[in-house]
Amino acid sequence: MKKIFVSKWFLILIVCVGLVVFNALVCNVSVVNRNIVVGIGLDYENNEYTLYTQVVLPKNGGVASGGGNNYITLKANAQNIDLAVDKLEKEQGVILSFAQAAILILGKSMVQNGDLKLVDTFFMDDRVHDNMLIAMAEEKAEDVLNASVAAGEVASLQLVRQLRPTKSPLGVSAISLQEYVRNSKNKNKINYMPVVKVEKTEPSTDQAKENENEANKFIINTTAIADENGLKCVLDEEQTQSYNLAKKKMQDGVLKVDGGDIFSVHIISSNANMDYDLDKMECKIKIKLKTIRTESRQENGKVTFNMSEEELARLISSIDNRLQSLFAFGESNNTDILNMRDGFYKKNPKQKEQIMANDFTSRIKLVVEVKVTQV
Amino acid sequence: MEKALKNYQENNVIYTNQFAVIAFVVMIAFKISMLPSYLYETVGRDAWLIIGILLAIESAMFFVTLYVVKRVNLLADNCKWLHILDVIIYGYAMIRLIVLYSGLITYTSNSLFDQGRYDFIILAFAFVISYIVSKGGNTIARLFEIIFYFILAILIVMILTPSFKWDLSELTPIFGSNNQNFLGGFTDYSVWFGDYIPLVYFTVKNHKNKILNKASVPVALIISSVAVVLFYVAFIAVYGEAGSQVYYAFNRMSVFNTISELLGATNFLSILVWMIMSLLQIILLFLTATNALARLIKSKVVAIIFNIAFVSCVEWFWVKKLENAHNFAIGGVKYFILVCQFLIPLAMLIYTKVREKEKL
Repeated sequence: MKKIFVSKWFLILIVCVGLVVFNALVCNVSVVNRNIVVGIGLDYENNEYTLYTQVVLPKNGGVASGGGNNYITLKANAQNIDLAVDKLEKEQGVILSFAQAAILILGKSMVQNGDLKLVDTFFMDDRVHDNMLIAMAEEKAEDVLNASVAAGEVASLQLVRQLRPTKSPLGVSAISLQEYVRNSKNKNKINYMPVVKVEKTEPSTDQAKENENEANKFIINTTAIADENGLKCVLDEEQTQSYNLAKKKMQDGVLKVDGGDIFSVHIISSNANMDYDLDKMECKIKIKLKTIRTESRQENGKVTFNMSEEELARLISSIDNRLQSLFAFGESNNTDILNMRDGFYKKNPKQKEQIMANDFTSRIKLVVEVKVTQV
Repeated sequence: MEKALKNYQENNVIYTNQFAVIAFVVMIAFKISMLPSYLYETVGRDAWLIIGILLAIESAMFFVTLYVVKRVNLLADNCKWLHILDVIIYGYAMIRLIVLYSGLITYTSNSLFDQGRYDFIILAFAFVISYIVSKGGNTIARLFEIIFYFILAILIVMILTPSFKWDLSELTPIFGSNNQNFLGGFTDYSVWFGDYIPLVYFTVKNHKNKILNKASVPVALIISSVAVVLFYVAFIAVYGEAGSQVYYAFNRMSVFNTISELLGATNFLSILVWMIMSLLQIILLFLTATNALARLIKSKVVAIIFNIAFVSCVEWFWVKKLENAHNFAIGGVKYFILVCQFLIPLAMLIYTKVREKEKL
């Protein structure tokens, strides 16, 4: 009998039994009792927050079943996010699982009047991943989450696909939770987020088969600029493109050049650096562009996709004008859109008093230097 | 029992390359979890400089430890004066265990389960750790060696596929923030350092391969130190002033991965690799405490049972959560640990020289 208790097979049996019952002992919640949240929405109205959670439902038999969506959008009102989550979980009798939450949509009223520090609640939650995207709805977050994008498709995931294409394009300015919180902690920086507009469109073939008469699509070509106090301004399509040119690395997009014969260039890659000279009160943006003309033209009897000297000059001038216009727009809205104050402070930390003066950015001269390489 | 104790005392012989592997793992494990946020909270954006300096000191001490363990076998030496060292090492190991073990338990509870019950996690670890420690230093070193390749493979995959949006200007201005608590960065978190001390209870033998003997330890220390410093640089550039609120930095950073964007969340890789590294380090600390106590009370079994029961009870009834462990670590014990980190290698160095003279 003693030999049985010390034999290795007995020990292996004990370990196996222990592993099987351990899961039950630690009170782990089964996936059946969880709601997998893929999208979160937040609206603010009448001093109350409305939390929406878009939850994916399991499909039957592994094949898309005929009729109905494979998601539901749950809703709860409360004074803050933790209370709203608690309310939802109690009403549904499940645990909300935020590990797969890919996007957080803030309603316009939330960004204008709500407490944006509530976004930190998601950041501090270990269950939420820091690469979750943040966007602002043109009106209400509910409209975005309930959009009929395609038969059986989830609006949140469709939105994430549009915001995270394979190559960073000119028009979309996606921001993740990590980047948003990093910017919000720095008093000298503004935050940005793409604005999502829901528009009606013709139903797709799949939607027509499902007898759906209404269909929606997402238009994302404008950018909201906000600081700790809320929404400051909204950049239109051209201003968004200028903002992306000045602040981001891009690998895709088409830039239209007006003034004279209109032409456009395809951006292969774009990279921008900002240089700050406090003595000259000058901020220099250096942009390196690799482009190709979208339409061919004739030059010396040959077909070419290269711009002429005159077109090149017009392109550079156009980019300069766009950025100057963007900067002026920011000044008119009392917003340091290009985060110049932060750049000057980091380079000249001893001149803090001068840099933090209210009229500092209005005295800065913006110089744009563009270097174009044609492919 | 005497024979068992004798076997145990001679079961601590490892090769130079095994020493290098252990050094590599312990240099990284707990320094990339909670420490980045703690250090950022204290010294701000210069945290990467502080960790670089501390790791340079740590690496130098590893060489001192290697010099010592190549010449003496502390575990088999019955000199009575060494028992004073055993008492100090025991106190040192237990304090570090209480703090770091709490981090591992909390991490397991939050990552593998949805706020899983601490008591059963502590129970599960208690069986595993005590069994492995009972096998002795040689087995543990071999365990490090086997798992090392798995750890390295995952780390390489993660290093090669980053996809985070960082802002390197968050690292500037360097030394520009007039941080009053700058020196605190060197002393407040001493509990997270001194990973060379557990190795004094090993004896290192030269491997047949001469290149492995000469190069393995310097290469392991350089790569691990550089990797940790670069991790801190990336951490500060990614999170900026939000860094003090980012717990489990390694796990949080691992979601910024091109594989995640294609396939969905792959942070299970980071959970796996960090848990393995931290568990190995905890096992090593338990071994240190066991060796120290076994030398004093002359019984390995009693030492293991007492240590595991004591630390488990402390975690279960007193520490309970990470905040308590953190407050304990930055209290008065940090000075004791700091002194130990220099006193123990110095004492061992003197002892080695004395032994060498006696042999002559």
